Amino acid sequence: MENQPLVSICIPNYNYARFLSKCLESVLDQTFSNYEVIFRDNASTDDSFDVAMSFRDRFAEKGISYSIARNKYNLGSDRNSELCAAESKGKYRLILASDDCLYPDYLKEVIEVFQNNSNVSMVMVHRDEIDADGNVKKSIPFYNSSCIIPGEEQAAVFMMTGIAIPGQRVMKVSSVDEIKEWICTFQVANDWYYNALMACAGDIAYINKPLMQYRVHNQNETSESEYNLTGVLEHYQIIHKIAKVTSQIGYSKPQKRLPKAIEKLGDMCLRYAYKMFLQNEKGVAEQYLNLAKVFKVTLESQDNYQELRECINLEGMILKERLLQYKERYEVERKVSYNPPENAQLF
Amino acid sequence: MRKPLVSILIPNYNYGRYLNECLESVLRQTYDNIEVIISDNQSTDNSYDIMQEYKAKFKEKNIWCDVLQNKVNIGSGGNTAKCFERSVGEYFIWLSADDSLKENAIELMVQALTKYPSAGCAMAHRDEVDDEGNMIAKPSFYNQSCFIPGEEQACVYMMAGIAVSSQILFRRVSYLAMLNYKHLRFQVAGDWYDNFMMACVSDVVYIKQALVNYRVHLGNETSDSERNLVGVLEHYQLINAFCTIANSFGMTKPQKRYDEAVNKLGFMCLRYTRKMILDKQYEVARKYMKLATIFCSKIESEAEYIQLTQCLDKENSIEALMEITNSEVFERLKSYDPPENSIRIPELE
Repeated sequence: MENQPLVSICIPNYNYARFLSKCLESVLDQTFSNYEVIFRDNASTDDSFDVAMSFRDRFAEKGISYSIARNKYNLGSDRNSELCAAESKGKYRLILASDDCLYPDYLKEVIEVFQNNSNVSMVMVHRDEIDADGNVKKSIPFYNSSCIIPGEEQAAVFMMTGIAIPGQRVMKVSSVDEIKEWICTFQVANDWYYNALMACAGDIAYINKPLMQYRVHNQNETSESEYNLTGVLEHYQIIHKIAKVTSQIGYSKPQKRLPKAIEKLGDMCLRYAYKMFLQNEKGVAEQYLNLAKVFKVTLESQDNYQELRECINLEGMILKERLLQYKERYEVERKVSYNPPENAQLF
Repeated sequence: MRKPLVSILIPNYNYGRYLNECLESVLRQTYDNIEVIISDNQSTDNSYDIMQEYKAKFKEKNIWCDVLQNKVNIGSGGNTAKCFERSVGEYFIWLSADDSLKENAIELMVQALTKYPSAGCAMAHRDEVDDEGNMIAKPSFYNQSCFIPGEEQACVYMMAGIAVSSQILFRRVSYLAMLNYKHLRFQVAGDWYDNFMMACVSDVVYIKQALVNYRVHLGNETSDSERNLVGVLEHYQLINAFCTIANSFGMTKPQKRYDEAVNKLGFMCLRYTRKMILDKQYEVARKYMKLATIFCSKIESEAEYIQLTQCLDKENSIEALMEITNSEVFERLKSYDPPENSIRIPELE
């Protein structure tokens, strides 16, 4: 089928009219041209749909198939993404959030990797971050080199972290079909689980150049899933599910990582406890501290744990100062890129 | 009276030792417009032979019986779904192959669904039966048979799962309607989620009589999902999801039970603590104790919590544990009043 586009870019949208032009421009500006675009609006109350419509002529001029649809009711973002995907015809699929955008060589570079490596089920790319005002922030790539990682090795890495949000990954659709039976919907960190599943269907490629911009909204705000612990508890579910599914398909490394992955969640709870103290949510902070000990029994002997514990009894300025000290000592961003796992092939 | 067709769906894996009792109970139903669909999931015991034997017996009674055999084990979820896909009855029930029905079970549940067309399912009380066939009667969940509006029942599901599949006769159209909204998939508590979703789309009839024999496999062994905490944490996810789902259906009441539901989970952790101590999984038991305090901040002053702490301090003292068995924390000892707006149904009692 000659007319079939090689790549489908799915763009589900809800009330992101203010970012949408930039997103669609970036799609239009791709240096690789064999793709289709599927836009689906989830009953936005802003002028998203008009913005999307205004791009029709420009896609048509370039001979790119551009489909626009609108849901009568808001169906939730997962369902909207699914509907986009269901309509897509490409051999490869990218689901792009409508507040993110691509750099011009995104598709070109990703497709080149797919074409040179037939066992690759998913290509991940590094990202820059952009805030709501458009300020771009560089960050350190996850791996220090572009590489092809055997599925089992990468699945073991996914036990520890999710790495890529949807806009950072392009999936081979035939590989998605292979893992269909394992799909299950998590409410907060579904992307992470999905990434791990893709590692069950083949090798994973990583391009360590930033090829897209990921929009970061109000990082200081606390979300519902942080207040009620469902986020971190879901992580716990996810790593167990990954361990189970990967061992069913015959991988052994992810399962072996499970104890370590659980301990890491203990440390993650400390970060949330810190965040909750900042918000003056002591009750929740204490819950996180208790939960941390469930995940990591040895935590009590860690200084950072002890210091946070003491915060429970502090108030006002003293608490603030203590948290500031804590931040300087322990709250550090990842400053290094990792070496790719064993058996990875660099490029 | 019109007699709607009822599909009795029996997925099986290696329950040959219980299958006779199960199929015999189906054969003896006082309600006769049934079809039986049995699917064997690659059992390694004599299950399939027993199924064939009963297929002939059903045929003698002019009852349609389909015996399916999977080429490979397709997982219990897959097998359950397969039975459903093959069935056509207006009502259906998934009967676990190690459970069995009382003779009038289907008759009474059909009567309930026929009388209350807005009810998506009829849910009956159960007796428990151990591996040796000893019957243990337990108090019914509600203290009367009743019709319960969906939203009220959804509130109750915030607190407890109530029924296993063998206790529920579904109305097919309601179940299909529910599937349209079903979006999440759970690893352990799928039935509970389904029951909740049913309450979002339809009402419920509860039958206080025990119409099912539910097999309890005694012994102190604990399961994977109990030892790694995944089960109880999934319950927590579940009640959080329930609030969101209830809101999307325009129901406001379940949300109000949220705090109470989380507290209750704290007590459920104590139940697991006890179980872990019995299985000598002391480290896991300690984790459950910690979790309990996260869900219920006041639990540390509860008698059961203190007693369990003492048990864990001297790890071998099972006697101390036995003393605290008789507590609502570890087992429901009474029946509840139905929620408000329920209607009592004396003829089903």
